[in-house]
Amino acid sequence: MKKLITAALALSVSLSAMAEVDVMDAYVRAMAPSQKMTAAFMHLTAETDRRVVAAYSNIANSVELHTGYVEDGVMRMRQLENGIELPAGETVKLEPGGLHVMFIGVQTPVAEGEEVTFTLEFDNGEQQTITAPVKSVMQKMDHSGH
Amino acid sequence: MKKIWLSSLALAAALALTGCQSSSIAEVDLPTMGAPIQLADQEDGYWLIYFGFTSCPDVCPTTMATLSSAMRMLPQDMADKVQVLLVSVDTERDELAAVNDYVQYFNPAFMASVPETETLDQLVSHFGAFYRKVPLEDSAMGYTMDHSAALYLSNGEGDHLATLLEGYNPKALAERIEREITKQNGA
Repeated sequence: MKKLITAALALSVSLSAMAEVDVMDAYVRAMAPSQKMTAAFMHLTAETDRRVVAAYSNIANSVELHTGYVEDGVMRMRQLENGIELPAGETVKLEPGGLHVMFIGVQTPVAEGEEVTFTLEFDNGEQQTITAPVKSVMQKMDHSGH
Repeated sequence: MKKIWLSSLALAAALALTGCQSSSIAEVDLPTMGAPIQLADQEDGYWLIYFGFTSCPDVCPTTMATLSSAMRMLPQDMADKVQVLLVSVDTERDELAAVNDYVQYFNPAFMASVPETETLDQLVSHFGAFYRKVPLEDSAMGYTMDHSAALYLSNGEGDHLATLLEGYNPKALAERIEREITKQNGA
């Protein structure tokens, strides 16, 4: 039994060491009261061509990959049926006003100071679990404005 | 003949009068958490109107946060004259109390309205804005709302003074608001 645990431990260590996608600056947007949705943002860099195909989290009924963009002065948001492409070596930015991991049907609003754990699934079947702090978009704005 | 001409003149005058009363955007009642408001309430001030919805996890909160930040950058006497109003375009899903909580989270001075579709359409067309319901077939969201990204500056007469599309840059937005209002004061 002990051997098995050791083996499992070694396996999990080697798996995370092998992680081919580097996740930087991940955060989840603090929610306004009465909001049922929020989004996670991060910078992703893959060693070889990868695609994020799905995301999961316990905090929401559904987690989807979406993009927001302005076209002809109109804000649009669409689900990314084919996921998010991560060309090898290129840093893909998930940030406000663009690509994001969307949490739909969040039962308990997340607040600043908390952390949210979610998992990204890639096209090669690998999964990567991320624990990200919850941040207020307003504070980020105030900082960027000065 | 003269009689007919006179009566048609009277008819035209009556039409113009009623037309004036019913079509003045400034006097349309907009439901809020308190008493209904009208654009005419801002007698010497301005409105910054944004058409959005609360099931929007990203662009709307980013716009509201940018706007809140920009309002704090304005000189106080100018900020006091500008009332931010979020008008929900998701009249199906958005409840007034929830939209009100939502805007006040960004700034306690912001107001919210969820008008009837008819009133919404009147406002949207007056300011040359746009919204559209878009089904998201494979999404748990069911549908989303496409809507104008801009902010619309109006005075108490409901005149459309400017369309502000400064992206997510609070400083640029604050400068634009200041410029537009200074222009009005100088006019």
